[in-house]
Formats: sequence, C-alpha cells, structure tokens
Amino acid sequence: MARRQIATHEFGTAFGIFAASFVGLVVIVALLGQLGLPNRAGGVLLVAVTLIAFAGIGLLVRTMRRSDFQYGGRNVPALHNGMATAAAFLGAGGFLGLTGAFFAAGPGALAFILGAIGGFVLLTVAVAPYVRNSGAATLPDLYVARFGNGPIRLLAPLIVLAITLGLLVVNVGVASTIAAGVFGIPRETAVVAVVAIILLSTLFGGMRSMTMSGVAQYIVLLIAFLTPLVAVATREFGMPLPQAALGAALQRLADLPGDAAARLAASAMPGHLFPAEGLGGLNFTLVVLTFAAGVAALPHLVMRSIPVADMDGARRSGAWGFVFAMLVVASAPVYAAFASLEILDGIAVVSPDALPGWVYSLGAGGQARACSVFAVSRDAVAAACGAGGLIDAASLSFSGDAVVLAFPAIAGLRPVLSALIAVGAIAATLAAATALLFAAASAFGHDLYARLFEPHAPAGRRLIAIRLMLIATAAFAGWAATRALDDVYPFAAVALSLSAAGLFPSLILGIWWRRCTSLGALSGMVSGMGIALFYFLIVEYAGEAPWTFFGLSDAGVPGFAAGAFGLPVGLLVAIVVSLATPPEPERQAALDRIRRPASGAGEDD
Amino acid sequence: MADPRQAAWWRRTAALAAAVVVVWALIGVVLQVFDLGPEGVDPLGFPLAWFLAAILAPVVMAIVLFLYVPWQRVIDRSVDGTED
Repeated sequence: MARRQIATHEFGTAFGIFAASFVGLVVIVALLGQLGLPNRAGGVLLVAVTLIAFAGIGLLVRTMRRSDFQYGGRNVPALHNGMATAAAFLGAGGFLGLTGAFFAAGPGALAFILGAIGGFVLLTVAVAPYVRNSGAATLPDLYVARFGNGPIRLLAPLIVLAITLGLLVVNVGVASTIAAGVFGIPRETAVVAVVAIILLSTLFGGMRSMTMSGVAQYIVLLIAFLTPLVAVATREFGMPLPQAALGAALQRLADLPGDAAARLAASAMPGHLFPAEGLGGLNFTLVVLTFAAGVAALPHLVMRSIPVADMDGARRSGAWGFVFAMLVVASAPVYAAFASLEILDGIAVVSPDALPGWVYSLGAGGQARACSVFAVSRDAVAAACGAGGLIDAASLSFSGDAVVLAFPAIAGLRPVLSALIAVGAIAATLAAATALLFAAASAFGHDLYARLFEPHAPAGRRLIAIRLMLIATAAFAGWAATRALDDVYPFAAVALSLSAAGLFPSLILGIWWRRCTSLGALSGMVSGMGIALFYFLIVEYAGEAPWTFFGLSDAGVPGFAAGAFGLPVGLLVAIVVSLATPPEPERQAALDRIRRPASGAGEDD
Repeated sequence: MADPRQAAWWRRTAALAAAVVVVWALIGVVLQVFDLGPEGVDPLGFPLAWFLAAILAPVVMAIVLFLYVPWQRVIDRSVDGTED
C-alpha cells in the first residue's frame, strides 16, 4: 500500500507539471502569434515541442526488469491508468472519426456511444479485474491460464494480430498525414518520425513507458479536443460547458430554413473511420451490442488492466477510463452540431470567389466538394458551378473525418487552436498506435515465439524477443502506412467486430461460466471469428449484398458490423460444445484461482 | 469453488456485475423508446434522444460505476481477500 501511495504522489506531481507546461506552451505560441510569428511557424513549434516531450518520456522510462517491461511495475495509480486506457481506446477513430460519423450520419452514430459505454462497463466489471488477477501479461496469456496449453494458445495471438495490425496501420497513417501537413514535409518522412516515436514509447520501457506516455498523450488530447468547443460554446451560447449547449445547438439547426442541416448532412462524404450510414432499427441495436463486446475484448485495452496493483485497482482504472473516454466521446455530437451550425451560419449564398479559404484547404486534400468537384481552387469550383453560379453551404459536401481538424478554421477561432487540435489528434493516434504496437509485438514475441519455441527461456531472452518484434512490427506498420490507407480502413473498421466475434465469447464465458471447456472455448473462437471474417470479406470484397439479420432487420447488416453474426454464433457454439464435452475439474480450479480476490497470481521476474 | 465463503462471495459479485450491466441495457431500451432514427419522436420540442444518449447516459453510467467499485470492495472484504 505504501508503494502505491508514493507512486500516486509521484504520478500526480509529474503529470501536473506536464499539463501546466503544455498549457504554458500553448499560451506562449498564441502570444508569439500576436507578436507576428507566422501561423505555420507557431504550429510547427507547438507540435514539435510536444512530440519531443513524448519521445523524451519514452527515453527517460527505461527498464531491464520484466516486471516493469511487461507488467508496468504493478503500481500504476488507477486514475492515471484510466487516462492511458482512454487514450489507447480513442485513437484516430475516437478523436476524429466519431465526430465525422455524427456529422455525416446523425443519430445513427449514437450506436457507437452506447456501444462504447457498454464496452467499458463490461471491461470494468467482467473482464479487467480477472485479467489482472490471473497474472497474465497478455490477453492470450489469460486464455492459457484458464484453458491450458491447447491449440488456443496459438489461435488467440493470431486473432489478436488480425485485430490490432489494421488499427495500428491506420493510426500510424493518420498521425503521419497530420504531421506532414503541419511540418510541410513528405508523408514518408512523417511516417518515419511517427514510427520512431511509438518505438521510443515502448522499446526501452515497455508497458511502464507506454503507460507514462499514454497519460501525457491523454492530457494533450483532452485539452486540444475541448478547448475549441469551450470557445465556441461560450461565444455562441454564453456557457462554457459545451455539452450543456448541445440541445440549443440542435434546436437552432432544426430551425434553419429549408432543411439546410439535413441537406448538409446528406451531402457529406462518409468518414472512413466510423462508417455509420443507415444505422437504424435492429441494425442500430446490433452495432451497439457488437461494439460493446468488441471494446470489452480489445487486446490493447484488456492489457491496460495489467499495470495496476490489484483487482480493485483494475475496477477503479476501468471506471476512470470510462469517464476520461466519455469526456471525448460524449463531445463528438457537440462537435458535429457546432460545426454544422458554423458552416451554415458562416456561409450564405455566395459565388465561388467568396467561399472561405478553409473550404479550398479541405478541397485540396480531397475532403470538400462544391458542384460535384473537389474544391481544389476557386477556378475549379467556378468552372464546375457555371458562370455566375451561386452556391450555398448546404450544397457543399465535406468529409466527416475532416470536421474536427478543420473546426477552429470553420468557427473562425485563433490559428493557435488549429495547431492545438492537430497536436491533439497526433497525441490520440500516437497513444492508440503505441498500445496497439505493444499488443501486436507481445502476441508475436511473448505468445507465439516464447511460448511455442522457448517456453523456459529466461526473462532476459523473452524481453529481447518482444523488443525485436516491436521493431519488426513498427517497421511493418510504417511500410504499410506509406501506402494508400483506403485499402486498410475496412480492416480497422471491422476490428471491433473481429474482437467481439473472435475473442469475446470465449473470454466472457471463460471467466463467468465454470462449465465452459477448453474445446468449447476453442470452438467458439474458431466459429465466431470464421463467420465474422467470412461475412466481412464477401460483403467488402466479393460484391455480396449485405444480409439481413436472419430476416429480422429491414436493411442489410453492414460489412464492418460482421460481429453481429459472429458474436451470437461464437457464444452459441461455445456453450453447445462445452455442454457436449465432459467438465474439466482442473480447468475449473484454474478459474477459481483467477476469480479469487488477492489470489496472489503473479508474474515471474 | 468448494469454500462456501468463496462461493457466497462469487454469487454476490456476479449479482452486482449483472446489476450494472442491466442498468446499461435499460438505458439502451429507454433510448430506443424515444426512437433514435432520423425521423425520431421529439416529445419535448428538442431532440431529447440525442441529449439523453450523448450526455445523460455517460453521466448515469459513470455514477453507477463509481458506486459499483466501493460496493464490490465491501463484498471483497467479506472474504478478507483484499489487502489494505
């Protein structure tokens, strides 16, 4: 207990200083801007100093101890672990994509909020405490502790890789795109820098340094995400609490003449990160359930329960993680509503010459259209709209994924806030990428290599294996991120479905149902993952029309929600096969040890 | 789980966890009643379902989770399991 109190004090002081320093940096950049520093130089200064700080944290927190590298020292305060958990959860999808989903798809995107709530609830009450108590270093470790050294020890890490690699590449790619824009450097160079930072955050300090950098990244992303919203809520609605202004903003949108808000949403280009179009009726419920199960079993989130002191710490960490994640997630609809309002209020019926500059900035990046062409220049728009052609805001088309990054410009806020939102987005993507990299490399180095080929290897050799895999996985992610992200987005979008279908059934039944047998868990894993992957591939790549949910839903289930089929099939198969096979007293005894409070299950060092 | 105290602890733990999950499910049901579709019902003159789901649901669940944690701690102490 004394060790934990000291750690809490140190964490609080260190990150208090970090947060104050970051706010001070933002203020200094804003003041320099007032004194004539060019906006671009201010943005470079803000982002560069913040990235150097992230890299510095990774370099400062080094360890050769396995208890620190894989288990984070087991003394991280729940509050700070919750921050790191929220940062790992949010990533590009939470910071940019969710707002885009609300902007383009409206109420259907609520499925992701309800799903995220359910996911954190399940993680906090049903998964994290038992993962922590099992002494596992990874999610596949938990399966081995519960079900023994059967084929599941090979299959589980493969599913972990299928889930994490697509998300990792997308987060590295998005971070690189934003950094390249801020620094004015080639995207390939930005990819190298991003890969270097996520490697520094894990290579020397493992879980310990990843936790520290995750907390710092959460502080940055939260300040960056909320500051522009607070500014607009105060200016437009006279209240500094953006969430309290949501109702008024929606009402103002509804009162606009000629269904302008509906037309703006209808013309929006769907975001890649959270494709939420057409989520109504039963499909809405299916996405909520799939998303909740997927979040609860996401390997890099489950691993975040490892560095806390005990089961109680894992529960408190989950609760804090929920609060910190919701501060951003619950602000996404506010962002979307404010952005729509600012666009529709700010742009009257105008000629292409009178369109604001940010429209053309987005158009140059393929994220804004006018008169059915990308708004790359005034000439291009004038040519498309015809001589003297007037356009109104509702006939413009914006990409949902661009809304958050463009929000300060859309709302006419100070340029330093554009740089702030960029550094926040980079922090969010780096946090997720770092956690995903560690989960993927642990699957290679710890679960596959060490367990299969060197089960009795000393701790030092295991750490070398994981470190080599960190380098190899980061190199792969960097290489893939330099290619077109359009090919990778579907695999990131389906990751939660694969988690829900492939990992959740055997995870939840393994912890909560003593009768679940090794063969039942394995069968549930194979069938759930198989069905989800099959449905995703035939809908996304084979041109198959989406199926209705056993004839019950009006519309077909989208490919990214393939877990809607995989999850129930995985659960059903796991239950039926478990009941058809004899009980396993030895495995049930292992479960009793996993459940028992303060059972003393721990790592070898 | 042969130890009767352990068995009792697990029953109470499972019941509490189930109660928390049920609260989440009820929030989902309530929101479905208000119809979240684009053509949704708008009973109070502003988009109530949006407001409920986006703001109130996370607040309610945060309160529930922060009640759950100490409650579970009390249950854990009933088997003298947690260290202080």
